[in-house]
Amino acid sequence: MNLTINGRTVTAESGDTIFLAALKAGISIPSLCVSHQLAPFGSCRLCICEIDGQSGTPASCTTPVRPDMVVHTEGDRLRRHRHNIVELYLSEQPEGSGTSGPLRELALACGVDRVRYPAGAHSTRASVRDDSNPFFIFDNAACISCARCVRACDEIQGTHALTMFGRGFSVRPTAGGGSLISETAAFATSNCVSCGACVKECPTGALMEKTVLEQGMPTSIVRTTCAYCGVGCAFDAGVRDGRVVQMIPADDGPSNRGHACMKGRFGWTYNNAPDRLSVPLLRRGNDWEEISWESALDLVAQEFTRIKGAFGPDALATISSSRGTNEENYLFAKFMRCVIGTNHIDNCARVCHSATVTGMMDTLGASAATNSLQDLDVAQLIMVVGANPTESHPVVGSRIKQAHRRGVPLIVIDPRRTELARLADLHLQLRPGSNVALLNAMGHVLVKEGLLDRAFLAARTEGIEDWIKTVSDCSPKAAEAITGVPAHLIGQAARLYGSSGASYCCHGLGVTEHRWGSHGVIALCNLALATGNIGRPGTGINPLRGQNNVQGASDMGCLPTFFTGYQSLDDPKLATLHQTITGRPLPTKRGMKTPDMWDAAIAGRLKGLWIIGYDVAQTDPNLKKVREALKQVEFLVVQDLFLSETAKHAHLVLPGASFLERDGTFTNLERRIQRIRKAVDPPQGILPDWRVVCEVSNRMGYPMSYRHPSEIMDEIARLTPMFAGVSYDRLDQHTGLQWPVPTVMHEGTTLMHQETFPKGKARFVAVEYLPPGEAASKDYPFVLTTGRILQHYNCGAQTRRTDILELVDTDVLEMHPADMERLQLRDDEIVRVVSARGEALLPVVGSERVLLGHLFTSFHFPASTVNDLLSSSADDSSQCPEYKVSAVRVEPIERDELDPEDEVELRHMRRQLIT
Amino acid sequence: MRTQYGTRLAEALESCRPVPPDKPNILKTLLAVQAGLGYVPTSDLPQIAQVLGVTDAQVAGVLSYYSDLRTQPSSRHLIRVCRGESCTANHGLRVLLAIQDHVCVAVGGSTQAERFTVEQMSCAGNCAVSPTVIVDDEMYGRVVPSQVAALLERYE
Ligand code: SF4
Ligand code: SF4
Ligand code: FES
Ligand code: FES
Repeated sequence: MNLTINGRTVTAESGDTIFLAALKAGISIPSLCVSHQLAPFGSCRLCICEIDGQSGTPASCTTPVRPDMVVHTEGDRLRRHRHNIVELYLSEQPEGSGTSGPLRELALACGVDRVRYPAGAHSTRASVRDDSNPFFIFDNAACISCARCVRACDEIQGTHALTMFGRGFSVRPTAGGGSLISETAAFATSNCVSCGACVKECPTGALMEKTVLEQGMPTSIVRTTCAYCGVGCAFDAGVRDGRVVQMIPADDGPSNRGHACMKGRFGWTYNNAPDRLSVPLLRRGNDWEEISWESALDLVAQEFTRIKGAFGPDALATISSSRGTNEENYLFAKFMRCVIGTNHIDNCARVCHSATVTGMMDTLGASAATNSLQDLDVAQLIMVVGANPTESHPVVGSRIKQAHRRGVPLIVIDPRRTELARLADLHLQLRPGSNVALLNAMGHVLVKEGLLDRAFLAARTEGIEDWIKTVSDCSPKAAEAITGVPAHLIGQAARLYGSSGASYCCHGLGVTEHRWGSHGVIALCNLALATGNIGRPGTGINPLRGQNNVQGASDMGCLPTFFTGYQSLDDPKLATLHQTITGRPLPTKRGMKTPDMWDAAIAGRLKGLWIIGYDVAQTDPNLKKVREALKQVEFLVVQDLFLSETAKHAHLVLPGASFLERDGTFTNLERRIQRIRKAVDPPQGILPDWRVVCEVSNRMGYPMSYRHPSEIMDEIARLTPMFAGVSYDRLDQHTGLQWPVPTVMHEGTTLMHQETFPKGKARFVAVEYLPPGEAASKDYPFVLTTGRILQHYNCGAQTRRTDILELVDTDVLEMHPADMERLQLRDDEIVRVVSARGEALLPVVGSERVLLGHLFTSFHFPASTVNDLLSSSADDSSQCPEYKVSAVRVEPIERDELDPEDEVELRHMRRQLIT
Repeated sequence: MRTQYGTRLAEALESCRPVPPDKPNILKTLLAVQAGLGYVPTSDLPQIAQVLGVTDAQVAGVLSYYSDLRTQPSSRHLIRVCRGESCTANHGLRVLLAIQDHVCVAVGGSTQAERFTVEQMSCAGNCAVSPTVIVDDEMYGRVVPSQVAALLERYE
């Protein structure tokens, strides 16, 4: 429709506000409280306008457009009003508080040079300053009570930690119970998760990052991608004097749309941590000797050449990092294949989503999210299986909460009563390890009640009969006995999932990290196929990848069984292409997976190992064995930002550059390849990982002469049909590219499998429930599950070096209150957790998030040695370890049993569970 | 004493515990708590939030907004005098002064023997017949200072 604004004809869509229509036409209207991220509100009244034929001055940000409306946004009357409004805001500011930047600018723009109201003639804002949040402050003096912060917390983040407190003149935002509980520590006592949405929305600087307050506003901005979880949030890194001072999520970030979580938003200060490595370290007995880069690189080349000469290529292996860039991962794999001549290369996806890779390959023929995050906007139902997105993928978690608030039904399948489980329409609280039984029973109901998508089945799939036969034995009643979930809930879930019209499924490590993890993934794919919930908007099977580039590391061929783009190693066409482009043959013999490497090391077959940015000695299951293996290796090179537990075993430690200090790309959980860009220089002399590989390779007689990571990407594109259309020029458009991108004209793929599957038809794979590798027993009566919490990231190497530590500084064992009572344990009491493999000391707290007889803990702190408890049990086909089920017992301990060193660490804990 | 208080709080909360698919009703719950205890103790705010499945902030927002909700115990009778626009225009201030004189206590205070607590509010929603005085649950319109003594007689 058309309307006229300030004499100009402007086109708008019905439902637009006048403010939005003007904005689209490039007409800016003064405003404070409006945000395109939030629903119209209209509290500041600065955006007032005049409409012909209508009296008064309505707020343009809340007035919808009508065809042929004639609007004026400037003019004497409006200017006078705005002047007075700003003057009133200023009059409220307490004496001497110093007007905040944005208000001062506005005052200047409106020509307000003094306040006519005498001091004391009216109420001023209460002086309230809350700096109890580790990352930002709230200063009521600068606030104008526009409620943008409160709306951000409600509408964007969905945490409801803020409220407008009081009414009338004294109304002001506050966190939690505010002055009813503790006004100066309102944030600390509230359920705020420090996502920073309120800070970003605040137009006046009343909410402000501490880093900016301390170090000043950034003077330049670099667009990059977060290096924590797999969501791949786009950020603008604000730089001042060669240091990052602020990270602001980008509104045009395709995966995060302006939102972020605590880790990405505030958890980057490890970049300046005092204990960052800056020079190569060589082991001399129990000491480290600092050596030059030259000699370090020489040493790697020498040792690798020696080992290869003496024991052959198969005595060497590399474990690359799913935190590193695509280009670096590709280069490490290339180094192993072309220089060493082996496929012994793996990455840390092994321990998380390798079961997804196997399971999705077997059924759909491609192992990546079938749909995109934007599909959450159109899904008619969301099913979350074995995932806790509000903590592990917080931006996805917020999006799911937004959808749920719009009325989209939510099913959560999880042993724990997570935040989403509490909100869900249906929470199927199954016993850990019983996923397949539950999902098959849902299949049983679908078959029985005729909810299969017959047309889709006939045209697009094969093997349905096998599956029907298998699930026909899996009645909900039988599943109830195995899973503990009431049969009628299983039926309800199946009906909802099968009949919504578009069911979006996402899953996490609660599906994969099991003895039969890939079966769980297969069972999920079967359900999606049976109901036609694949290949359409708002549907699909979407693994929530844990790390920023776990997708990319596997895509880049850092797998012992696949080349880039999951190309088969024995493909003759690929072999020729590889020879032409790299000048070396592609080894065809499958390499070792990470757990096999440990066995090989202990058996003495593996002599040299290169580990990049991956703390295996803290994060792998069955740590005793891993550490043993690391000790056996003749030459261990570890590349990391910090002296990690793994680095402590190394012969040579190479310092690394952080994501803020280098160029490259990451691939997020929706297959989107996005740029990271260098914002600041690394500490002196540090080479980015890709340069390290080139240098070593050059020294070993295979020159690699890339001038920039973009040239590495060009090579990847030439070798990989799936990435053929990828180049840095194209990636520099902000949206990145979602693979497959088969040609340079191709737009990228937001939705996979629309017409066909990679193998033509998708295949049902009938899987039966098999019990977990370990069950509770008389000696070990509890089932322990491990996982992440919001505040920390994996081994915690980064997050433990930020102010996040103020919030959470220990792992905590969660136990059902009734079990606590039975064992006569008190909150925060330190207990010993014992498994058949080892033991760990942890503070215990009562938590209704876990079932009776079950325990949960995170694994972010090395001191808690949680992984000592876990077994080497793993998924058969993918070797994805069983982090989610271990049988343990819990024993109280005497205070004097504690190691005094540990005692200090443990006493300082403060727990803060997100409830 | 404390246990009786605990039971009354528990009863009030139990009566308001949301049963899905019903949404929690914060205002109704706070009124129930106040009916049981005479006021809404701020120290119980987290417990109220937990039972309702909402956050502290959501409860605090409602609690701080409605003048009907009290966070302090009051005397046996609570007098609230409206100071809104309509009441002010119709000499509500004179009524307030008359009440203060009569019971000998200022706004916010309680009389000896805890008979009356005096508060002001705005607006009582009774503008058509302002000025307005509310004593406990009863609302009086068109109040003039000379009526105050007789009006308060009724409350022992
Ligand atoms: S803190 Fe900022 S966003 Fe919140 S009400 Fe005040 S001015 Fe508005
Ligand atoms: S930081 Fe996030 S969770 Fe905390 S109050 Fe602000 S918007 Fe809410
Ligand atoms: S911007 Fe429209 S009322 Fe504030
Ligand atoms: S102003 Fe007193 S009742 Fe409305």
